[in-house]
Amino acid sequence: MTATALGWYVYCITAAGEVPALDGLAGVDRGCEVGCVTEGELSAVVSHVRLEEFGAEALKRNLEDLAWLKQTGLAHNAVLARALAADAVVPLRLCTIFADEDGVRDALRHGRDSLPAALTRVRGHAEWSVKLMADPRPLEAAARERGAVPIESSSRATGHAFFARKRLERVARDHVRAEIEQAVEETHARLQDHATAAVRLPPQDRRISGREGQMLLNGAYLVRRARAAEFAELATGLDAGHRETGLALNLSGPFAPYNFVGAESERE
Amino acid sequence: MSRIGSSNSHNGLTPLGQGGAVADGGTNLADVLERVLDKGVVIAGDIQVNLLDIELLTIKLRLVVASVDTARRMGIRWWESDPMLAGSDDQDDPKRLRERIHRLERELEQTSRAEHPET
Repeated sequence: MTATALGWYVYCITAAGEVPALDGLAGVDRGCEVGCVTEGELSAVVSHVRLEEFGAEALKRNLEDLAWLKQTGLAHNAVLARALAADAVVPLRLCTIFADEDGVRDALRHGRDSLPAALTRVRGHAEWSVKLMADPRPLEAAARERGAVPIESSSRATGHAFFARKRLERVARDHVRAEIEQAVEETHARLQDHATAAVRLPPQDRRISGREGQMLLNGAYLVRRARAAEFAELATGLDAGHRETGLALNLSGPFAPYNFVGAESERE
Repeated sequence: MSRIGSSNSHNGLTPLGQGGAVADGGTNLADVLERVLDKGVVIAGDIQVNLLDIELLTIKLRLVVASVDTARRMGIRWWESDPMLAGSDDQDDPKRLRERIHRLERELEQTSRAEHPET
């Protein structure tokens, strides 16, 4: 058998000794199991990757391939989901790859000043995603209904009636829109109250989200794990409250705290 | 070829998310991609795709994952420009529509004043 050139793919960082059991967990390169490397106060969750697929040249090609990206992204996230059993996990960007174990150790030594702060910030937390989707049909119906104030049947004012109706419809639509906007703001505020930190991400495109309707809120919330059930309950309650308005709330997670570890570490 | 050593101890924590009735376990592709590609800590690895390429890739992906620029430009009121939500009247250029609305409103007021001079 010829030796295959391998790289070391790093998924996330934990405090030394906090990596949970990962036995049998496959990495992004199927067949390569996930393990850990510890250096000083930090551990890295890693797996081997074949350079023929994850080398610089191959990556350039593969990252442009949506099918490959899907598979790799989901596998990366699956490892993070398991690693999240640790109390504090700092996820890394997709495809952080080193030539050898020494490279991983160097990176851990390099990050010994910045990474512990990130670990502290997310300790005992996980990230949740909440989206608000608008089904335009009930909204339009509501607008029409409110706009359909009967016009006095004065036959002499057909033009007047037409314009008046148009105007009423417009006012009703503005009104419905304002209500929606308020509902979105309130939803985010309520969720934010229950979270340690929150960010609003750009709404996802329908083509990739595969969700019906228009995304009005794409929020990420850093939630204390002890309060996760409470947070989910709040989300369920808000969802029920929005049904009438034609808004649907979707909760997903838990995610590793991808959205809450970036800024500090990127500053260097 | 060395096998990567497996981990130390299992801390006994059960994964989250089994309580939430509406939670989907975090496996939605769009949710995952927008996180693994765009978020998380960046550490310079040994194997790197040319940075310029990565930026290009990011732009391409953003087009797929989220219409970021469109969303930013429109802020929170972005959906108003969506013809499905904004209603059939608004399928034209919004500026022209606004002008049209103002014109119609003026006409409407004039008509109404002409018809009800007492008000």
